[in-house]
Amino acid sequence: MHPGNILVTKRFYEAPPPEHEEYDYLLTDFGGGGYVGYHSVVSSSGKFECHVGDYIAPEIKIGGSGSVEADVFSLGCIGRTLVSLRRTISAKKGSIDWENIPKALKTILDECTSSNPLERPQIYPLISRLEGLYVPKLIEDETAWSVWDGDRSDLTVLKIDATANQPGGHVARARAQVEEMLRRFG
Amino acid sequence: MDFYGITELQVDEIGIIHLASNGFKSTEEKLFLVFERASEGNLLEFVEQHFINATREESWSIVIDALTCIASGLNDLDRRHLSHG
Repeated sequence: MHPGNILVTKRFYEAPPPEHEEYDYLLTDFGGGGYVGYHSVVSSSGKFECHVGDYIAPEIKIGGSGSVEADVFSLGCIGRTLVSLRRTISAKKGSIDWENIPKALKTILDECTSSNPLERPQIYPLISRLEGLYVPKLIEDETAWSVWDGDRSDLTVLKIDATANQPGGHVARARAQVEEMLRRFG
Repeated sequence: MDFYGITELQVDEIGIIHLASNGFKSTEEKLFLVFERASEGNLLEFVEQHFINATREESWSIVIDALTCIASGLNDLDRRHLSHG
């Protein structure tokens, strides 16, 4: 599994259409046996490419057969690719606030790409952990972002209520939520 | 991904598909598997397109949505005792 054989399509809705476009990610091209080599996938503009061999778990490279653990490894590699692509593109745009990878996401990706298959997360708990990674809704609210980017991985599930965006109120409210979370998990 | 079926189409020497209705006289016919159309291309092409104009919030949402969606796809495979490879 690698970024070249995951296809993306717009999610289909009956009317009314959603406020934001949503997408489905489709796994294709099963049976990776033929891919244990180092051919590349290049994006349509030719600017980005990935080496397919880099997504294969180490135990498969030395002759093991496919497993869900090996797929989790590939998923971790895909996550790392997305994060670094994001950084590359934002560096070109000249933004500096894009650098941090949220601690909780980094932990997940590190665990997924462990060379020991037994140390990789089980797939079902992994989904809940990924779903728990809410992105702060208040883009200007540096309190929320500093929590999201910070070291306390349990705080990364904090979801800031977007309706709290009142003059002079939202930062204080976000801070109160952070303190509440600290009290609960601290 | 939905699988719609198998079709037989006329193909010229360099592999371009021609519909029977345009009167093209084909040298050969080939069988094709017909799947659901993925409008945004592969993952690499998709994120390259979308990261350029995305805000910080949107771009992280793309990363997390993609990983969550792929993980649940792997979970579906696992429940059927399959691996992607």
